[in-house]
Amino acid sequence: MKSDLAERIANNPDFQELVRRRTGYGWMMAALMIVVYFAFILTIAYFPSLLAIKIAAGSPISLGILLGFLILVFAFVLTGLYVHKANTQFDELTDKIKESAL
Amino acid sequence: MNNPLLILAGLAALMTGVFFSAGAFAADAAPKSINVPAVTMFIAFVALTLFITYWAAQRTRTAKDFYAAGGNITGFQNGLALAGDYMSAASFLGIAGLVYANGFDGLIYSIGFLVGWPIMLFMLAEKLRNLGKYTFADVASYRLSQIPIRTVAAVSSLVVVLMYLIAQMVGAGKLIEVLFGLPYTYAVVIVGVLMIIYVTFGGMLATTWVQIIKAILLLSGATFMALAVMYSFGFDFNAMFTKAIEISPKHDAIMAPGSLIHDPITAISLGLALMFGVAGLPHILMRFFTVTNAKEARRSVFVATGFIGYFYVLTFIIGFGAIIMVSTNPAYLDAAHKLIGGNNMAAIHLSQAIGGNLFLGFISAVAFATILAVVSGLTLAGASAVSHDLYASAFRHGRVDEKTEMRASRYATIALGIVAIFLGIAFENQNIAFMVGLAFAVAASANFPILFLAIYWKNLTTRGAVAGGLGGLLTAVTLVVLSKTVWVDVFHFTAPIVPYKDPAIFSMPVAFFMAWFFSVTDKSARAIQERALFHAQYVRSETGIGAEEAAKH
Repeated sequence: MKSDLAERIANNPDFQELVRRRTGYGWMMAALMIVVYFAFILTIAYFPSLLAIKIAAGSPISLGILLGFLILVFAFVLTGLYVHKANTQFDELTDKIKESAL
Repeated sequence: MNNPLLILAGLAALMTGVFFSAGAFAADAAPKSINVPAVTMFIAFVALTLFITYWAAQRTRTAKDFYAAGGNITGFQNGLALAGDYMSAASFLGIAGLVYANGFDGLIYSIGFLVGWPIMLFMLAEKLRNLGKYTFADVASYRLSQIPIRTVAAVSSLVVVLMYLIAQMVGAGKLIEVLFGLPYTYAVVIVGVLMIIYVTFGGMLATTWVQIIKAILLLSGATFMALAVMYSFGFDFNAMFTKAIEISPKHDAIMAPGSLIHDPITAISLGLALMFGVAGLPHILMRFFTVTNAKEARRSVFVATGFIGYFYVLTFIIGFGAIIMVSTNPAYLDAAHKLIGGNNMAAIHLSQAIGGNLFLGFISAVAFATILAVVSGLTLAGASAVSHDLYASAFRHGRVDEKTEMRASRYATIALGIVAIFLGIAFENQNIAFMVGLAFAVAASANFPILFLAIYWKNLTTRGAVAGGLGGLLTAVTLVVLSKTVWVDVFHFTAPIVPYKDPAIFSMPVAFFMAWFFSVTDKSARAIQERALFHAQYVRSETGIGAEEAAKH
């Protein structure tokens, strides 16, 4: 990309908004995933008995199994939320930037 | 499993997806009679994939066709192919076997394998597509000096690919020996020759479609098995778990964390390698260049995450199903009341228990197809590192026409295939449990830091990237060699020099520190220019402007 074009795009307020919003959102989602995963792993390492607790009296299902499944679902939901936001909001901004730049 | 050393050794294999350590299938791996339905279905699969390769070969004319399937793969197709790359026979049979033996602990690994995907989406997927062309080294070297960056990236890619390939080849040989009654060497040669044919003639297009078909077969087979298990309990999870707790020799302990993770250093180190390793696996990264644009790239991660997560739920049910339907049936047990062929055979035996020899044949054929598809993707990634990064860019300084580069990549494929066959045979009786662990650790400690910093950090210079990449690579390899998995299990020394068998907690910080230190102290004219070039790269990585035109060349 030519540097004058890059300069022009970089100074476009839409570009600055896109980067600010997407970067913030992306890092927040990544942080959520990292925190949830390492919290789970460290619970296994330090407090395994916590995860052995049954979710209800008489139920064979332990807290660990329930949480484990919820983390699988959580990972999928996070990617879904990101893709949805990107498709609806970030792409709109990107298109605007492209239109004004090219 | 009460011995902590044994547990750690087991962890190395399990966490990393190589469940086919030399001993895994050895106990009862004496070739048995040929399974006719399995062989028939496998031949049908091979015939179909060879037809696809022929079809793909007609459409593979340019370098872009060969490396990136012409850039015309849709997000959904790429998602399936990514999931296929990741759902190796090791993760199917290995995780099911782990759940069979340890219950909950199997789930820990499934989760570890999945959580890298959202990270990939949030940090890399779109930017990779916006900046890259064929390999991740294109992105890493976008504004840096081509020769040193591509050389380092190609070397660490080849380390990852070869470790992974050896693990898959040895696993394939052992598995096929058990499933089809075929001698080990034949199995390795068949896998090697077929993967050379797919990749050499059909390039990325054939590799992608072989992967998609295999992913659909594997997901269908696993879905059927999980449904059959759930059906026998009236779709009541409580009933299934209660029965499994009653039957399992560990009883209620299978519902809680066992002994597989107990020290925090191991837990964090493995977590890091898995979470960030995915974003450094060359055969996965390469798939992001096969889609049209950033939008399709992120859609493909969403699709892949969904299918992989779903698959891990299935393997969990399959593992529990095997506890109930396989572990008490003398037909599947040897004289010592162990599973015939080892715990990795739990899913295979379950398929027989559910659908008789015909379904056993189907699942066996799918397992073979899975290995074939995964090694093809690995070979293509390795060949691209050789032809695109080492030969065309570093050795010939980019002054090479497309035809010559494609010829080079085909030679590289054939050479890599032959190397893989020889290594597969050479490592038959070696303990290879450490290999995929090392592959993930190197991916997380060398490829990921370079890629991440090249995209996000303005001040990264060539000197810093080379130092960081080599630092991460060498630290990871050295620590693994000095740990129990190699020092004791392979070299037979009495005690390991490094007590931790997973290096990522040390090697990732080393890579980032060295990249930072050797960048900020780099005052060369080249460094100043590289920092100045960041701005344009940044705008392109965020918007994709320039990516479309570049991709046409």
